[in-house]
Amino acid sequence: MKHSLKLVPFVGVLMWLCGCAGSHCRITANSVQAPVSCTACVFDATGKIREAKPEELVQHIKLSRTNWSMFWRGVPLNQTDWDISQDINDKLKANSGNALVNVKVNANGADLLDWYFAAILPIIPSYVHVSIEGDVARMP
Amino acid sequence: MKRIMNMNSTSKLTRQWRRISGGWLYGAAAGMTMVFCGCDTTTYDMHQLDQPVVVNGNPFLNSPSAPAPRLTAVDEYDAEVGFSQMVASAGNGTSSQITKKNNAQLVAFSKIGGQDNRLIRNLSFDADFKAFNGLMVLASHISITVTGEVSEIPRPVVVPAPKVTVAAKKVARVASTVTTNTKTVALATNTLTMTNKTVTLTVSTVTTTTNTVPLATNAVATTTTPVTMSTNTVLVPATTNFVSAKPDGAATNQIHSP
Repeated sequence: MKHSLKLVPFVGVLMWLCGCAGSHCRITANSVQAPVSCTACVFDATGKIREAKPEELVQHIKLSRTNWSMFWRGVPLNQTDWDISQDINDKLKANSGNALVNVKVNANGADLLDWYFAAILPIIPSYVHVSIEGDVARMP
Repeated sequence: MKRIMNMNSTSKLTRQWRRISGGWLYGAAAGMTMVFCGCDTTTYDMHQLDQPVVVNGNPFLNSPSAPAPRLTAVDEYDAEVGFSQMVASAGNGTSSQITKKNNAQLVAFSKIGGQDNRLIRNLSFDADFKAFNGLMVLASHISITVTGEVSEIPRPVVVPAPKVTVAAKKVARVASTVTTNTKTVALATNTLTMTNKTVTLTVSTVTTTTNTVPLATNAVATTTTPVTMSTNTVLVPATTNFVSAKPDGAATNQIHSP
């Protein structure tokens, strides 16, 4: 019994040192008029598959964002949903493109220095970094 | 003796300390590796697929002249790419585990592969980072969960052509008039239609004949009227009256019976 009581503060410290951290981000692009394809292919106006040729790619674009959360992911500090429609429309318009192809989505977690302390002290925020890249295409 | 005992106990403590500190050093090394490697990254990349996988709802290039074909939803798309690592330290040992997951292209291929009228659209990407510190266990997980809709452009219904059997081929080889027979069948069908038309025409002829009959009747009626008039003409008694009115100076009304 005496032995067990000695363990209580030890276990308490251990539990206090345990914890979790992280963050979340949802990406959508529903209101883009031109096709935004994760491959090099889109459909032409008649419904046939059309692959973008290298000479039709006019510019490579990249969009990125970092979402922060604290209190074990419970309190997001940014808007969780990220709609990239407006950004893509602007890029297409600026480059006179009619499609965005070869889209890739990349996500990076926080480094250990950040999330280790964020897990111990929940007031420290943790993050997830997301980036989207693709090629603006001008396809006749 | 006492010194020997002290030496023994010292070496035992030292060994234990070395064992424990060795474990902690391993843990620290693993932690430092996690810090500096920065491996918590994952990518959703579909470049090997030769069909459209669009983030928005429109996969068609704009054309002012022709309206875009209609799309119908046929299935759902759900895939995940992820990376997780875990380092556990206990006593004098440390273990680490790295797990990678990427079924995005495989699922996409199983849903639309080889069907050039299919695509995946309306994608949403959920990037999620989770990390756990259990003092002796450090774990982190980064993932991108992708959900979407599998759609297709409906194809026009094609009636399958009849298969030509081996027996039919033999018949064609033996009798060269197979083509003529086929044409005869088509003509027979046409003849049936024409027969129906002939029947209709016959009915019309019958009607015309019926119309002719009343006309003949009218002609007979016309003939009857002169007959009646002939009868009036034959009223000879008027001549008789005229003969009776001839007496000498007497009034015409004085009719004498013959």
